[in-house]
Amino acid sequence: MAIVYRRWWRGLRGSRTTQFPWRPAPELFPPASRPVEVLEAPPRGPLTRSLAIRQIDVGSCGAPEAELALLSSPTYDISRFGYSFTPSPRHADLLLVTGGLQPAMVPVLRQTYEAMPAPCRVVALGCCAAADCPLRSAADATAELRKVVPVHVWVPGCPPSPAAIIAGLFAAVGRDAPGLADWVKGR
Amino acid sequence: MAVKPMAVRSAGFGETVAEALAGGGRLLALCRLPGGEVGAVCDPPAGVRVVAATTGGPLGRPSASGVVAALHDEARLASDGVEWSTPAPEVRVHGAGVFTFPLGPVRADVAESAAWRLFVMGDEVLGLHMDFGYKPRGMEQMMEEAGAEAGILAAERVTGTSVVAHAIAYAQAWETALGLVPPAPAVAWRGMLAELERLHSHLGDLAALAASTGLPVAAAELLLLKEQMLRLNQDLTGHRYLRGVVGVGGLRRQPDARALTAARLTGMLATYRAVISELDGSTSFLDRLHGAGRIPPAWVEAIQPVGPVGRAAGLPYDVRTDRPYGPYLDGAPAPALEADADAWARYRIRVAEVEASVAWLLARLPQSRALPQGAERCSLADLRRGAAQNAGEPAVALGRAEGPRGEVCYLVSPDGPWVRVRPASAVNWAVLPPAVAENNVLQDQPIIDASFGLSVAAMDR
Repeated sequence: MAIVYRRWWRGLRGSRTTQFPWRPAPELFPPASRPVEVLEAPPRGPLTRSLAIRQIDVGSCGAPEAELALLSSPTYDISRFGYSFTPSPRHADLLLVTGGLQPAMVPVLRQTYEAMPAPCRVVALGCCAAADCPLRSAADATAELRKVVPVHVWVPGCPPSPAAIIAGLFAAVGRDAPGLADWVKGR
Repeated sequence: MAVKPMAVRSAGFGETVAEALAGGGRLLALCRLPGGEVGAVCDPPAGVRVVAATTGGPLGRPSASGVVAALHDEARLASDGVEWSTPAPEVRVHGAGVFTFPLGPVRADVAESAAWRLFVMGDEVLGLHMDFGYKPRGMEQMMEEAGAEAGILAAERVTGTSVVAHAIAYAQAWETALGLVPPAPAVAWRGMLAELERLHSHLGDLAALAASTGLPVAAAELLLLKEQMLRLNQDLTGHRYLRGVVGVGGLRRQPDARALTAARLTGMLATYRAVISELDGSTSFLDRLHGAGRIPPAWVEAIQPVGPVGRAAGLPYDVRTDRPYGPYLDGAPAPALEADADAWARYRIRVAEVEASVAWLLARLPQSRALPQGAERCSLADLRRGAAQNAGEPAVALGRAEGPRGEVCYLVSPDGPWVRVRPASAVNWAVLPPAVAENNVLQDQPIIDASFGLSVAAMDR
């Protein structure tokens, strides 16, 4: 493995050095017309700077998952804020819900939420998660996310861009908006 | 193409399907037809046929080679109220030292919901049982309720990362059903968007494969390239995943041709080649991929997987070259073919397809500049007239396109309206369990998973 990494390192230092776009383009942030919305005040508590995030798909198309995979890429790199994804809800401080809630996922969602230690923040991603997607039929609307778990923050978009998701994570832990603006500007 | 259903007695349904598929045909889908009967959509060399069975009494299970794919549609037929004469056996593995390793529905760091049971003895995987159905969203019903024009919103959301392929197949099916001819510029743009989608999807799959083999540097490089492509999409169409562009009868939005420059594609390709050459030279990567998740030949023959999974198993089928449509009538990207059917072969296919798609796009870039603005869509009046003229027509119209994961089929009928989808993953999931159970250890599972790159959302549509 060490040999492999030396090869990579040599490659990266050479002429093929990638231009890392360290900051996402500002236009990828949620536009003023569709800002990240705080639906309920998130619970206060420690660990706002080292969040362990558990994602749960309750009926998504797969696009939010594709965007979440990019949160670990160098462009967005949430580990620089101390945030990371965890496989177990028992280690998680925040639940990221993707997709519109489907009936079979209701008990799964409830169990996942109950397995998490308090304080537990919930961020819903995408138009379907917030139930205002024009695609939702009457049958889908019977299963509402907020009847099962409290939803503190909603991130709009179909799918929401990775930068918008980061803005949603900041909102869920009460990280102040000026800090976010500085980060966008690159200070 | 429009095809009229051919009714047969239910007793001989399986045999009739087998007969229709004689001579190397494929079974495209098995579903309830607009008239209420169960039908099989067959694609023999002579042309598409719909074989319908009458609904009285249980159906004989189709048993011919190539029809095994139908087993996969069983759950969906059951939800339509169809009973099969032989119930699916419950999967159980017995023996000393055999353990069941449950996985899901909440699994991995970021993943779609599906519950798997891996049967293991020590490290060795003996079998895999997959449970879907945690998030069926009723997309087909949504499309039917929305009607031909607005239903494309739902079609674009069947699988989040195969947006254009679904939209093209859906649009082509309705254009056939309503007798519409989309304008040439719209068709040309559809091809470009489809190849751009292939680029970001394949780059994401390759990044997942690198990450699964413990090579985060390669994964990071590939994800950077994917982000570049998503931003190109954003500049071109205003949406990172190209939603809201393709429409029935043409395009819903005119892409901004200035955003699609040769420099952006060649720049991506140069870094991509460097990353791939480093991956090809990493012994740990080669060691993990070679022989991992090999699909047994009998299963390849029976299921006939589509897309990169099929082409990595020696099946050259590609809708773009075998059943050319719209943008590919004057040439498709160079086909790739591998015979090993393992993770390495699937990796090689995706690597080659990225190169081929970029070459195809670069060759068509000058044309995209010359495409006229404005007349990108049939008028709404045409659409309404087509709908009025063809109302009551019992024929089923078929639309298909080659997505990043393989062939996407849409069957529509204006009578109802009625819509059925057969995504690529609905076929390819069927070959995952035999591939996992073929001399692999538990630690190979993430690699095999990443090398298939299938969509749960397409299964739970």
